[in-house]
Amino acid sequence: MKMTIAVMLLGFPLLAWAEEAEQANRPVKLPSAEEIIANHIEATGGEAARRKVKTRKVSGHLSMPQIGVEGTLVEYAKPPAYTYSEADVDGLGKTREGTDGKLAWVIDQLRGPRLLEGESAVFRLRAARFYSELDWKLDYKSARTLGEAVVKLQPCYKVELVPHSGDTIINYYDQRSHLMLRSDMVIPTAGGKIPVESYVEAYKDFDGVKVPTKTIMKMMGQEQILEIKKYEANVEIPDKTFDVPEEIQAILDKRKNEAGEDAKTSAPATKG
Amino acid sequence: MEQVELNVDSFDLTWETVRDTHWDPDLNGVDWEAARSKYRPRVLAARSMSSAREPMREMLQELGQSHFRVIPGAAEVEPEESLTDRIGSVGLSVRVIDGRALVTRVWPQMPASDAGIRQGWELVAVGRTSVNQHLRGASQRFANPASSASFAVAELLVDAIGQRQTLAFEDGSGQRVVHSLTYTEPLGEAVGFGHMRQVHSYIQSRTLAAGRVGYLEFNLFLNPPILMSAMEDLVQDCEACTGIILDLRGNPGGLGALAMGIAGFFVAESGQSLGSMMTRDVNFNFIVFPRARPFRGKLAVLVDSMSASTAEILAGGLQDLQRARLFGERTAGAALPSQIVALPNGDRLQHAVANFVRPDGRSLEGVGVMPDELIVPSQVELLLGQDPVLESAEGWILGRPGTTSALE
Repeated sequence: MKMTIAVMLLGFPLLAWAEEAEQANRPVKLPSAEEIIANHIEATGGEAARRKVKTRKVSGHLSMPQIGVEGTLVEYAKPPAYTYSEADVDGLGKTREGTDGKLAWVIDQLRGPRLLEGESAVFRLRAARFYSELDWKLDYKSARTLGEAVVKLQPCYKVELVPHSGDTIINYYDQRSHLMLRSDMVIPTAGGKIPVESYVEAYKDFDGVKVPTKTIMKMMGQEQILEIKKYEANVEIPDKTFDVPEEIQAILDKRKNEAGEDAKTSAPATKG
Repeated sequence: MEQVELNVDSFDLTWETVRDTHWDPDLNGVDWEAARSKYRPRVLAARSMSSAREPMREMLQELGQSHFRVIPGAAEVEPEESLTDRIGSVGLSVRVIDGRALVTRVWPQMPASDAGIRQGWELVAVGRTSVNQHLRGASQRFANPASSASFAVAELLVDAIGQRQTLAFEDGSGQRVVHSLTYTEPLGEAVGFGHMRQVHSYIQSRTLAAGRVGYLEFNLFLNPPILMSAMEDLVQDCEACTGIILDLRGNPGGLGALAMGIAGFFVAESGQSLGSMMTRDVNFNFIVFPRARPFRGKLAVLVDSMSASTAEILAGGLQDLQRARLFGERTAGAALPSQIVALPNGDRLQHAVANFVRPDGRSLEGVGVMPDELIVPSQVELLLGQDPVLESAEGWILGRPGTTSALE
C-alpha cells in the first residue's frame, strides 16, 4: 500500500535523516530480489488473496507533527490504475488527485489544477498500478539485492528496483517477517526531484491481506504521517469517481484547441 | 526547576534545529558551537520566560537573516510582553517615510477612523513610548532601513483585543492630537496554520475606472480556499478589464506555494518559474501552472517596505517574467522559506530552512525587490487623501498621459 498523496508545502525542505545503520559486510549468501519480493507477497497474504481484491477504499488521518498540521484523506482505487483521492488539511484546504492509467492530475488550493507530465506522470502512473507489487516486472526492468541493513532495529534485506524510466527505488524487507519496512525513492515533480524515505509499519490483516496502516514519509526536513483508519476492499465504487474533473478537462480542451490552432497556422496554404 | 529544564531543552532544540536544517552548512559564517557556549548558560540561569527567550533570540540574531525567531507561546503572557493569541487592531497602517511615522491608511468603521484620525498624520507616541526614541533604538532587522523602521513601529502598535492605548499624533498642521483607543477584532477572517499564531486574513476586491481595472488586496498569503476563490472571481469578473492591480503593500507573506498558484492566473505559458528554493539537498523551482483561462491584460503589483517573504517571491517573480509592472517602494528583502515548530517550553521556533533565489540567481534575502516605478507617498499627498502608488498603477493600465505606458 503506497501513500499516493504527497502534500508539498513550501518551506519544508528535506532533512537528511541518517538514523539507520548498515550492517558490517560479512560473507553471507543473500537471497535474490525475486525471492525477497515473493516472500513479501506471501507474507502479505499471497498472490491469490491479493488478486481477489478488486477495489479499495482507504480512509485515513494525515499529520505533519513538526508544524502542527493535521487533516484527513480518502482514497479510491481499482485496476488497472484508476485512483482518486481527496485530502483535506487544516489551513491548506482540499487536494484532489487522480489517475486513469493514462492521465495523472492534481488540484490543490495552493497551486491550482495541473496535469502531471514527463517523469512526474510516469512515476505517478506507476504508483497507481493497482497490483503494482504483484506485477512489479511490468514497471521495473531489474531488481537486485544490494545487501543487508537495519531498519528500526529489524535486520532487513535491501533491494534495488530499477524502473524502465526514472530513478531507482530501494526497498527494505524484514528478514524474519518478510514485510517491507522502508522504501527510498526520488519523487520527480515539475519543480525538481525530491528524495523521500517512507517507513511503513503497523501491518493489519484485512480478510487475509496484510496492509500497512501507518506510513511515515520523510522529505525536505518534514515528516508526513498517514494512518489508515478504515480499509475497505471490494466496495462498490461508481465509475464516475474516476472521471477527470472539469478544471482538468478545461486544461485538456485548451491544449487541444491550441494544438488545432498550431496545426492550422502551420498547414500549407491551399491553392486557389 | 522544571521550567528551567524546559527552557534549556528548548534552547538545545533551537540550536540543534538550526545546525541541522539551515540551508548553508556554514550557517552564514557564524561559529555555532561558540554561540551555544555563549548563550546556553544564560538560559540555564534565567528565572522567567522572557529572560530565557532573550538569549535564544540573540543567538538567532547572530545569523543576520530573517525568519529566525522565538515566538512566545499562547499560554505565556507576561507583563512586559503584551502579545497573546488574540491580537487586536485600531484600524490604521503606519509607514516610516523620510524618518517620520506617517499614517498611510485608516480603515473605515474601526477605532482610529471613529476617533477622527486621518491619513497623513504623524504618529509620535504610543503610550509613554516616543516613536522617535523607539526608532533610534530599533535594530536593523532588514537590509532595507525603511522596512526595519516600519516594522518597528508596527510592533509598537501591537496589542490585545480589549486593551486600551493612548496614541499621540501630529496632525500635519503642527497640532498635537491625543486619542485613547480600544483595540478591537481586526478586519477579516481569523485563520491559523499549524503552530502559527492565529491571524486575520483580509481580502478585498473591487473594480476601478468604471470597471476597466480590477483590484485585489490581501494582507496575508494564507486561507487558500478563500484567497484562491477571490482570485478566480476577480479574473472571471474582469475578463474584459484592461488590467488588474494586485496590492501587496503591507503583506508580510505566508504560504509560499500560493505565489505559484496566484501567478497561474496571470501567466499563460507553461514551465515558467518564479525562482528557486534551495535547501542543503534540494533545489525546488517555483513552477507556475497556468490556468485554463489566465488573465492576459496588464498586471500591476503594488509593493512597499512592509511587503515581505511570499509577497516578494510573487512580485519579484512576475517582474522577472516581465508579466507585471511593480509600483511603490523597495520591499523588505526577507524571503526565506521557513517553518514554525513547537518548543518544549510552549514557545515556538520559526526557522528558515531554505534560501530563495530569483530566476536569474539573484537572492531576495537582504536585497528585496525594486519596483519598476519607485513611488513614495509624501505627507502632503497622504493628507489630501491621495494614494499616488495606486493612482500611478491605474494610470499605467489605462495609458493615461504622463504615465509610462503613454510613453511606450
